[in-house]
Amino acid sequence: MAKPKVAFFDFSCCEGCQLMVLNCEPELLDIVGAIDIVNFREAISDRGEDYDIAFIEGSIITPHDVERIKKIRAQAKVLVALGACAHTGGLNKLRNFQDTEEAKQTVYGKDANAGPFFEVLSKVLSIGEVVKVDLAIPGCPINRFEFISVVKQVLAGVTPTLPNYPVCVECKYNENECLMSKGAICLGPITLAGCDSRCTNSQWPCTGCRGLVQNPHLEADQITLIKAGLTVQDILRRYRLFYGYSEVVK
Amino acid sequence: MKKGVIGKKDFNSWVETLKKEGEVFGPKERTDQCWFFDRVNNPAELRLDYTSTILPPKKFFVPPRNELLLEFNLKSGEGKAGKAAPDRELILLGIHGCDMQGLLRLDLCWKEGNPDSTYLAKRAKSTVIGVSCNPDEYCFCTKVESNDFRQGFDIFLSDIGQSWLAEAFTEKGEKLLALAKTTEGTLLDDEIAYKAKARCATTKGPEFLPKVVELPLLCIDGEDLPFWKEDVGQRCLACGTCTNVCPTCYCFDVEEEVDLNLTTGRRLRRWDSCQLEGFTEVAGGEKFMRDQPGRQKHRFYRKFRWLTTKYGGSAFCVGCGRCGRQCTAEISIPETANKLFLGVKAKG
Amino acid sequence: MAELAKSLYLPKSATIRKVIPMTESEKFYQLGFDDGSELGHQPGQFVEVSLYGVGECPISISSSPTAKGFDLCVRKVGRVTEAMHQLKEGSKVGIRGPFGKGFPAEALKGKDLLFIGGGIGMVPLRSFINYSIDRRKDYGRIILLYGSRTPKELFNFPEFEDWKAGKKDVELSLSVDRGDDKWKGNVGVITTLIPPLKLDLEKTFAIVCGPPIMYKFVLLALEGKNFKDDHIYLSLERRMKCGVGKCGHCQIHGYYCCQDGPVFHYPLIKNIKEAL
Repeated sequence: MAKPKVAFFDFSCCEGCQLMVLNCEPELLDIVGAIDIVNFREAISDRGEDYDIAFIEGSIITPHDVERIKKIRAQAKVLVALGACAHTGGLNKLRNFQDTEEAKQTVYGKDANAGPFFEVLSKVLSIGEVVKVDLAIPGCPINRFEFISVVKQVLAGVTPTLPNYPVCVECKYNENECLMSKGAICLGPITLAGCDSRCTNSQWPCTGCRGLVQNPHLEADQITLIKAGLTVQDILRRYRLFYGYSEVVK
Repeated sequence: MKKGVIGKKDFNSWVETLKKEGEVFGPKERTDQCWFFDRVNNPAELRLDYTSTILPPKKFFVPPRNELLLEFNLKSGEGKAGKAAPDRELILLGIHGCDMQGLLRLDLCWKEGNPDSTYLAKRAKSTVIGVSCNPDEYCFCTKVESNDFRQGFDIFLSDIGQSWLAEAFTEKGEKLLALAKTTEGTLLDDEIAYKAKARCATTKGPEFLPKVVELPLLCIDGEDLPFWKEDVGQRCLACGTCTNVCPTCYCFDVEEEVDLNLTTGRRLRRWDSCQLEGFTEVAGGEKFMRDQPGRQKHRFYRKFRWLTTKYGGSAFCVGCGRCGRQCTAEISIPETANKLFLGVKAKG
Repeated sequence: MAELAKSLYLPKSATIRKVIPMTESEKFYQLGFDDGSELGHQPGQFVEVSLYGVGECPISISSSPTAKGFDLCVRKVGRVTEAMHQLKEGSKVGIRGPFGKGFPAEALKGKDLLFIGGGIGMVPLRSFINYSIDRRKDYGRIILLYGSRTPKELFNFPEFEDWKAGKKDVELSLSVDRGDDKWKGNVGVITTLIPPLKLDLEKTFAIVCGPPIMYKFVLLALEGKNFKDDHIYLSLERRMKCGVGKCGHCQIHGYYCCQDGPVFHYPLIKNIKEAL
């Protein structure tokens, strides 16, 4: 079997997820041995336009992005959303809760409308809101072990599955004390696992970067957060950080 | 039974000797007042005055995840079972009575019907050294009749001030105790040791209204009480912590892992939880446990009704208090038991 | 404890001898163990089908123990079954089992059997139907009510034409929820086939298997027919992940579906809300 040709593309994002891919140091040689990377801006300068699997990082924010992702979709046999920005819109979706003009002024000041570069869509979109996404690797940034696992499953022709349980499960596997019990505000109970609870392992509360678990128990979560001293507005602000894609923050 | 008193200043050198006999694991402090069982590299790390650990000792026999069940080769199509027993004896040092009872309950389940050789081989190659407790306001082992300081233990250590009173109940235990520098105990030592063991009963724990033998019947009569839905079921976050930290919960899921060579791989076991949305979901999407009140009831009934009656009477809750201590929504077994008790009583 | 080296979770290698497409989403497989041994199952039991690298899932055994090898009918509905549908004749799969409690073939000797199968529920029923045909003298009437959503979704088992032609002494009634141009038979849910039946209630036992939604309505229809509860057996679906009563996913109150079922005597589960 010929090695599948793989390309990485980035849209609006910090490219941190591509860095995580490069961080797979012990496995990187094996990965490179199993696939043929034809496009990877963070790592190689050569560009190829012939690929089977496209890993997409970042959100769609301009009309130009829309055209570009549609072209990629037409070429790729498998399209994988890489990281929160691509998967759910991630942090970028925060802009959807503000006036677009205001947001532009805040960021770019008087140059906000200086050229076509700043022509943006009225809403930030995830990749799945524009084209069909075959698979997603959530997280900000992605968990490299999950990336490797998805690559292996795609190569083996098996449909990869994401965990469908909350971060608390992995947090307990890692035998952490609950940060909520120490007064922290943690979104672990309603956030999708798969990150190996890497934040709470370092005593850092979960901010929800992987998005919501299937059927989150929001009412129960809000009861605990209000008990912890948050107002409804506080809760909404925390939810909006990474759940901006979801109905729950509207 | 052999008995001896080990002076606390001689204790660490005994632990050093134990390390020659096997892999020694015991309670250590991670952060302030947060303990966990871990490999004892240096006896000074041991915190035998601990209250409770995040995870119970079940993790040594069925680890939370990545437990090898099978290895396979996709080219040859062959599979073989993972190695069940470890090479060296596993010595668990500093296990409380409740956690020992937890292991004994697990032994029943893993032995029943189709014995799980992976678990049983590890258990057979383990030695358990108990220690008297330092209970807190979440502990309720006495309420569920799990305060036993003999059954299942190879050795039990009671804190008698400047020394440990060690009682060896098995051949394995006697052999290990013989490695310690001991003196003969007095009758007074026995009495002080009894006082240490009785701390579970004398420390004020949570209120627990029903008698444990009443619970299977209360479960039957209290199935439709509104608190399942309006209280416990509504507050529950469905995070799975209560079952993961439970010494008697053993439900598991199995996952596949294939190496990048796409040839070799393995089948791995990890803990699953009846509190999670997907627990009963079959391919096609049907979920047979549909809501959180039902899932909470499932957990409670498994502990106090189904497994209790199936295995002849002992509750499958050992009163360690972990689930209540670690529940973000502050749901606890005593609270649920009391609501059930009062609810059924009010129904008349 | 070294003698416990044999793992509960290690499958035995079997080869797919024949693949017959049944419907758009179901395929029928004839298999045999590579070591030449027989499965040795009871009608109504199931096996865990294992594909290394993909996973394992419970599948009902569709053949009678009186036949050589064993048959499975697999609906493409999850990861393992999707992968299984890619397999060709000669492919190897892993099998664990047989597991669970099957139909009470011994206890029902001399009785009239009323099989009620909906959709894929027909698969385990076929095992007992063929068994009772092969032991024809042991049983009374063999009545089969079989329903599916559309005519296309009816399984075309190798012996199905014989049954339709009345050759095997099977009293077969078919029904579909929605007909098509060619369909001349009954249209309507399977329960519509129950009221017209002429049965000796003392002698008849109902054996029911179908999608979860079907049981409630079939049970109502049987009740309407004055069927006694203890004359009803049901085969239930659950997430029987390990098959050996350990993993907990298939628990129905105090029962493990994989051990105490999948076939249950109705009085045992009648008062368990979550069961049906």
